[in-house]
Amino acid sequence: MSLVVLKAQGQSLLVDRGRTGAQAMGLSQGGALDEYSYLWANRLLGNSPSAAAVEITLGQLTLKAQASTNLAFTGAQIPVWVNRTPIPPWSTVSIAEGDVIEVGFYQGQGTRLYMAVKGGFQAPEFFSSKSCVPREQLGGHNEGQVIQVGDALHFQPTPPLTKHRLTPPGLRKLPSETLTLRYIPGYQYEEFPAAARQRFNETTFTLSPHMDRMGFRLSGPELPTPTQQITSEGIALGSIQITPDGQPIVLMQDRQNIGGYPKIGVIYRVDMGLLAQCAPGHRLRFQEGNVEEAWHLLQQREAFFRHHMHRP
Amino acid sequence: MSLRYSLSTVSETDVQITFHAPLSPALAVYLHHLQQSLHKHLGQALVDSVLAYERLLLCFSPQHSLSPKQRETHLNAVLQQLLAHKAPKKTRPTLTLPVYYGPEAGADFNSVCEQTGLSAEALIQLHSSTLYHVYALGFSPGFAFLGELPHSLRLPRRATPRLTLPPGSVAIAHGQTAIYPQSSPGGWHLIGRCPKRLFHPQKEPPHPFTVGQAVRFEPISHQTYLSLGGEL
Repeated sequence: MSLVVLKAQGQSLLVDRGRTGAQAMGLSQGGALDEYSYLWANRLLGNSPSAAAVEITLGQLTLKAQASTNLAFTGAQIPVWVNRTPIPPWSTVSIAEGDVIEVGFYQGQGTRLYMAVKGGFQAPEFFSSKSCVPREQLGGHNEGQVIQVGDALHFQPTPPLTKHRLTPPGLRKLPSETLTLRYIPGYQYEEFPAAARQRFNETTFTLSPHMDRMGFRLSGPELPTPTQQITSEGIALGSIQITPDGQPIVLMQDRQNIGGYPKIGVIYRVDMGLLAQCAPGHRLRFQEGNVEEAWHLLQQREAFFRHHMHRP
Repeated sequence: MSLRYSLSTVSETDVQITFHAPLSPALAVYLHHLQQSLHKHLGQALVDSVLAYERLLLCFSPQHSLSPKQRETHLNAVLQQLLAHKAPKKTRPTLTLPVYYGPEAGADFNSVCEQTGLSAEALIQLHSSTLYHVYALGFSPGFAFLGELPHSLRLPRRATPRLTLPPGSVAIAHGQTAIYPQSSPGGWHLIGRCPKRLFHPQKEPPHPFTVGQAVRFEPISHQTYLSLGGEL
């Protein structure tokens, strides 16, 4: 059975934790940009942490249910109504056949809303993932296409949950007015002139309108870059590249697998979701950290979501 | 193979290995073999990897329980063991790709002749008589960076990249050549077109390229290009 799309105006697409083995073949990793909110949506429903969900950017999606199911919404503060009744954020909701689910518009606090379904959305897998990568026209519910009016999002029907769950308010994460992103200095860090490193650590950047699932451009004072050219090499999620015009670009889930710009470092994986929730104009600062701390925080997050995986 | 390398921590999950050896087809073949062996050895802990030129990025699972320090110690041990083995003698057969060269299929064909001082025949002869090897995969699905282009064909990228170019376009820039499998933006010089579809998401593997793979281009006529399904 499915959710039939009545209206789709923002960018909505199917995501999970991304592909494995795809970058070796020259393809993008893909996956949810805000992993934390995505993981919570599945956790609320007792899904596998890698079940496919819908990432709704800036809202504006209306769906009609063809069968009974249970949904969870997490992430951006975007209003959701079921049959014109508002539902609480970061919580589960039971849906009956014929119900209309309406996702409203961006409210200025977070850009990406995640909608999970009990049991996960069904779609073909490509490199162990159902994630849609629009740039490559691969994956998702319809061969790399984003969700459009008339589409059907398939799921296995489930009876209403006996107990509804919500994320404790203290654990709901959205970016602060000036977001500080911690980063691991990279092996090219020392190649940047000292003045560039200092300016990078002291500047408040703003997020540029040139942002998509491949990369987020930032604007700030021009940063001098290393003179030595780098051959293209594999690039990690969250890499902060400095382009020849001296501006940073943070590489996201749909980045190309290789690139040749110098990199100052890599943003902590646990901070990437907060960046993904920012809109153009958002103020961003960087704070130098270290890989051990970043790894501990990631381990904690993974253990937290693994632990409660199958709790109903 | 006594190959020197260095490990660099990239992130919580990723490690970049730089091999200190001159780039060559033999190195590319060897590193591809090593990449496969690392996946076999490390199993599910290693979720992905990117081999490009003399670097190999290893992407470990966020759930992998070894800390970055422990991971590098383990990796050094595995690498020392694997680097003691020679590359297998068996190599993949050369991939031959048909190309219809000329201004009708490659919008920059005439300007490449002008800039290099080569005749049309000499350009085709030079480009198609060279044996290339895949040094990296990326940019778009099924795009393979092939080297090394003969010195007399080397040109800098076009000053203004094209916003869109026809699928199958055969292009050159600097020391490299490639086929653009899809209609995409691109800044390389277009000299011809290959009629073969190079990326099939339904197939396993979805494209015929692996790093180290030898590739040769075979000139074909306008007629053959069309009969092989090429479009103009």
